Amino acid sequence: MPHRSTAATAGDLADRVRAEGVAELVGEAEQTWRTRAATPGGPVAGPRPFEDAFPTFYQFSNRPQK
Amino acid sequence: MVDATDTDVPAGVAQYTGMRGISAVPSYVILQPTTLCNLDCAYCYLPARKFDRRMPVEVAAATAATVNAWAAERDRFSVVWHGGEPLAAGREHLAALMAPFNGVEHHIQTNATLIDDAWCDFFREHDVHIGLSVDGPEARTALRVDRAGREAYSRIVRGAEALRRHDIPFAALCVVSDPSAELARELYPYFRELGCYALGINIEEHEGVNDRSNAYAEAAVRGFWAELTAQWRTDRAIELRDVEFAIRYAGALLHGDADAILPRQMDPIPTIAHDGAVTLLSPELAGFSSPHYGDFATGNVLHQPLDEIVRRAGEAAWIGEYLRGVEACRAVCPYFGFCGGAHAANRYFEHGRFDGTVTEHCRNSKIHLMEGVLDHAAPQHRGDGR
Repeated sequence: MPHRSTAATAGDLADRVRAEGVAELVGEAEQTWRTRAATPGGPVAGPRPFEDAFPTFYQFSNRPQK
Repeated sequence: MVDATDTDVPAGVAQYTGMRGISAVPSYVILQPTTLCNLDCAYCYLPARKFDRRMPVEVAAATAATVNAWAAERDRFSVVWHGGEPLAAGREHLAALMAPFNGVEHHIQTNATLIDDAWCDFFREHDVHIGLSVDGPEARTALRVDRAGREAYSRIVRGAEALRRHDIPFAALCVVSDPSAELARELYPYFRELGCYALGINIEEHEGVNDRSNAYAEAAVRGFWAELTAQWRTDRAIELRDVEFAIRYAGALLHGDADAILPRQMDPIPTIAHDGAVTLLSPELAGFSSPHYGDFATGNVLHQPLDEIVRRAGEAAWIGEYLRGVEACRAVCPYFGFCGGAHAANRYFEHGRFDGTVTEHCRNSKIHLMEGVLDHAAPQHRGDGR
């Protein structure tokens, strides 16, 4: 079972994600992804879904959807 | 599709609908051009890496007979050449193995030590996507040695330099054997300097012939992921696989579409060994058997079409048990929507069976990853494990 300090239920995890600061991090990441998508081939990695770089992405979700 | 068994869902656990059964068509295959690796890393899981057992072209051709049809149906299809060390097969042989494939993207995961100008020309000619296996600065790469015990780091660096000289983009995979916040502070700038466009972190796993423990302290692992998130946040030039995927999932929870993250079905991930034997779902199981389950390979492309092997996946006893294990994860684990269930090899090598649930790999690379990212973002709400 997960350690005691990890979420005991999916609801606990959802609550933790709603804590102050998480939305800001998510927003910054989403901005990064939009920037990548807008500048393929630029110094920032392009709009690649993760599996472009790691086809063996089964480490996560057995290859995630976009 | 291979059916999975539904289970009741306890109160408080969301019903995630992805990862039900195994898709009849994968999105990539992994091929082993040779079992040989010129290195002998302390944590390697491969059992036959000192032998040069090369894949005959007939195996590649038999695989391509199915893969080319799959690729024709999809926008993209990847063929991943994985070892051993794929470059140890030599350019001529690797080109012969690639020749039967049409309409696919070729990927090579390499330790970089053999890369030179000639290999860079080969990568260009065959439009190969490159992933390097690098564990960080020299002192952190001490577990990567050759068979004589000599350090591999200087050769790895030369290989990366050759790629940069030829403007060939590369991703990097880093095995972490001693996770800590201090290590994260060291690794991110290092890989930024190395020049990779993407970085994946693999916390060392207890699997295959690697029997080193991977039971790390929760605080150390969460601290590692939290600090790596902080590093990325200050300089987001690298596509940081694990952290970004955790953020993606956190965003999906916030946006209310978390159930859309997981694929609807599992990718069968066929791994075709040098001799044509096919192992599904977990490449780390290739070449292994057990007294209880028998050989984990479920067919051979020299005797049976690959699509038929995939279609009949559920006939293997261990795969049926694994599917029950995935349903057990779905029923009890709050992180299932992020993770999709413990991987088959981790279950087997940690538990000796496939229908258990959480593994040390789950903790290190899924649960503590998600919690570490959230620790960074909202430290005031972090749990009592720090």
